[in-house]
Amino acid sequence: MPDEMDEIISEFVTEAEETLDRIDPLFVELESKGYDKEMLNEIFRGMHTLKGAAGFLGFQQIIDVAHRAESIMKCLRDNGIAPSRDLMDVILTSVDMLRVLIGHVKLRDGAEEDISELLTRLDAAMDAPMEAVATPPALQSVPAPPDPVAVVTAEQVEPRESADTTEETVVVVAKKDVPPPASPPKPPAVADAVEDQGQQSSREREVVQTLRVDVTRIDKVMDLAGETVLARNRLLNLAMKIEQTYSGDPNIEGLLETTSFLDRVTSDLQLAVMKIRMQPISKVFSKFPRMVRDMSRQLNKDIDLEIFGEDTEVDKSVIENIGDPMVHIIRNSIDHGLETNAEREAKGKSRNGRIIISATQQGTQIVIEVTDDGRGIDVDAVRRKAMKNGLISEEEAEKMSDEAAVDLIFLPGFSTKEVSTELSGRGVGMDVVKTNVAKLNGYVEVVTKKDIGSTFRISLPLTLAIIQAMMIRIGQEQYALPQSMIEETLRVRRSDIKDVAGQQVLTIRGKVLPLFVMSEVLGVRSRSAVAQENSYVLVASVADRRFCIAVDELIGQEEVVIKMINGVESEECGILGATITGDGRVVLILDLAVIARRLFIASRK
Amino acid sequence: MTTGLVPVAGSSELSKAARANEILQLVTFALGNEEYAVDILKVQEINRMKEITRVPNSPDYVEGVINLRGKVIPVVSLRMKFGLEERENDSQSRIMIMDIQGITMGLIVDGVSEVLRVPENIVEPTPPMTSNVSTEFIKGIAKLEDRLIILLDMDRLIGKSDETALLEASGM
Repeated sequence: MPDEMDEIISEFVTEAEETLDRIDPLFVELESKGYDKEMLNEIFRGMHTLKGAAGFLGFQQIIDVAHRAESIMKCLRDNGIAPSRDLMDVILTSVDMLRVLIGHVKLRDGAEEDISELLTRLDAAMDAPMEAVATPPALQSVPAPPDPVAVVTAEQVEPRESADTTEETVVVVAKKDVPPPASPPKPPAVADAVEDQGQQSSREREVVQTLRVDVTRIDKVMDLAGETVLARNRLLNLAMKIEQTYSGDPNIEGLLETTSFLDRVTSDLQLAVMKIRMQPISKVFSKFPRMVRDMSRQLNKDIDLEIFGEDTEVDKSVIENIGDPMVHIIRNSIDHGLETNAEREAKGKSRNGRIIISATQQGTQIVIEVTDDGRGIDVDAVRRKAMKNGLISEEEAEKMSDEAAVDLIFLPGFSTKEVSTELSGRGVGMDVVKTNVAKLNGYVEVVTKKDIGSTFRISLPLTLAIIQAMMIRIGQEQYALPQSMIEETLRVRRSDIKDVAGQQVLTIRGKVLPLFVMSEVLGVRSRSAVAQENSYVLVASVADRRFCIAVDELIGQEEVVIKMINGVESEECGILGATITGDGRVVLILDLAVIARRLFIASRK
Repeated sequence: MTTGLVPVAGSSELSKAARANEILQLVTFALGNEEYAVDILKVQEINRMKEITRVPNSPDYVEGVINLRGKVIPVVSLRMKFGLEERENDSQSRIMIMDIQGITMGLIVDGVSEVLRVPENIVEPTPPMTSNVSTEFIKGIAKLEDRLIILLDMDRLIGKSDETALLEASGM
C-alpha cells in the first residue's frame, strides 16, 4: 500500500511539473499579447488540474495557491481583462511557489513554506481587476468544486505502464504528428470545463501513445547497442581475413552476406536507440522567455526575445546539462551586454534590446547560439585584466589577436568579482560555462563587435556515444578523427606546400589554408610525413576555422563507439576519448576542436 | 564460562589485543632494488604486459591506455611516478590493475613477488628518507626477519591536482 501511494505521488509530481512547464511560457506570451481567451483558458485548466490532483492527495498549500491563481485566471477570462504587469508578477510568483511546494512533495520532506504573504497578495490582486469591471468578488470564497477531485482521482488511480519509482523518466512519443496535449480548439463554458477536461485527457491517451520509461533501462539498451557495434566491427574484420584465407569455400559468401546484413541492422539499431533519447530542445528553451522577462523587469531594460529552432532534437543528457551554461550566458548578455534603454537611444540603436536564441543542426553537430545586440566585449579591457590576473604576460597581450584575447574570458581565474565590474561583467563564471559544455564534448566560442553585440556559440555533438570516424596513422600509432569535422582528404605533392612567414600553407581551390603536421602537433615520432614526395592531407573545418593536417596514412572510415577514459585529462591531451578496434586495440579519438584552438592561438603568438 | 559472558572491563583491552593480532594481506612487488606492498583488497588483478596505446601530451608517468575487457583504462608507470630512473619493460614487468578512489587504473611494476600475510603490529611508521620515493605515498614499513617492505597508500598516490583532473574526467 505505501508503495502504491508512493507511485501515485511520483505520478502527481511528474504531471504537476509538466503542467507548470507547459503553462509557464504562456504567461510571458500572454503578457505581450494582452487578452487572449485561449491562453487564459489553458492556464486556467492547468491550474485547475493541479488543484484537483493536490486536493485528492491533500496537499493543502498547493491547493491554496493554485486555487487563487485559478480564480484570477477565470476572472480575467470571463471578463475579458488583459493582465497588468503587476498582476503578472504576482501570478508568476505563485507559479514559482507552486514549484517549491511540489519540490517538497517530490523530496517527501514534509516541509511547508510560508505562503500567507503570497496568499494576501493574490487576494488583493483578485480584488483589483474585479473593481475594474465591477464584478462581485464572490469567486474568491467559492470552494474547490468536488467534481474535479473525482475526475482526477480516476485518472490517478488508473493503472499506467510507469517504471518503478524512479523519478527520472523519458517520455517516448510514438506518434510525432500529434499536437501537444492541452490545446483545446474552442474555449468551453466554465461549467463544462471540468467535464471536458476529463474527456480531453482520455482522448489524448488514445492518440498520443507515450510510455514513461525509466532512463536507466534506456541507457542499458544504449550500452548494449554500443557493445554490439564493437562486436560487429570485430566480426567484419574477421570475415574479411577469413575471406582472404579460404576464398574458395562456398560458405564464405554466406558469411559475408550475413555480416553485411548485421552491419546494416546494427547501424539502424544504433540510430533507433539514439532517437529514443532525443528530445526537442524546447524543453530547455521554454524557460527562457520567463527568465528574460523577469530580468527585463528587474533591470528596467526592454528586451525583444526571439527563439528559433525549438524543435531541434538533442540527446537527453544535452537537455539536462545545457540549461545552466545557457542561463549563464543569457544572464550575462542581458545584464552586461545590453545597454539601458536611454543608452541605446543615445547610440541611435532601437530602444529595445534584442536577444536571439537559436538551435540548429549542422551535420552531426548541434549549434546553439545566444546573440545580443548590445555593446560587445571590450577586448582591451579583457587583455588588461588577464595581464593583471597573471594569466598572460605583457608581451603576450600585445601580440595576441583580438579573437584570441576574447577567448581569455573562458580561462579559470579570469572571472573574479572585481573583473566583472570593470569589464561590465562579461566573463563572470565563463570558465564554468566552458567546463559544462566540455563535459558534453562540445565547445564554446564567442564573436563580438563593439556596439554591434556578441554571439556565444555552443557546438555539441549530436550523440555522445557513437560517431563516424576517419582512421589515420601517425608513426606507429593509429588514431581516429571525428568525420564530422573533416571536409575532404587529399594527396598532395611536396612542391604544393608553400611557406608563408614560417607557416606552411596549401592552396586548395583558390583558398590558402594553413597546414599543420599532426605528428608535431601530438609530439609523436612520425615516419616523416612531409619529407616524402607525396603526403596525405585532411582538410578540417572546426566552427569557422579551416585548416589542413598532414598525416602518415589514411586507413579508412569507421563507425566507432566513444569510450571515456576515467583518469586521463582528455582535454589537456587533446582527445575526445578512445575506441576499441576490430582487433581489440585501443585507438584514441582526437578532439580536433581542442587541437584547432591550441594551434590557432599558438600560431598567433 | 562466566567470565566470557560478562566482558565488561576487559572488552576494550580485548579488542586492542585483537587489533594487534589482525593480519594484513599484502601483495608485494619490486620496483628497482626495493620491495613494496599494497593491501590485497586494492588489487583487482595482475596482468602481463600488453599493448599500450600512448596518449599524447599526457604527464610522463602516464604510459598510455589499455583495453581491459572492453573498458579503456589508463596505465601509470610507478617508476616514473616515483621519480625513479626509466627502464624498458621486460618479461618480468606486470600491470597491476587497482581501484584508486573509484577509478580503475593499471600500474606498471618491475615484477610481482608474492602474497604476504603479516600481523599489523609489525608495521612501523615511516622513518624519514626511507627511499627515493617521497614519503607521502608511504603508509609504513613492514619489518620482516631479513627484509623491509614499504607499504604504499594507493589513495594518496593520486596527488591533489590529479585528483581534480580525475574528478572532472569521471564526471563525464
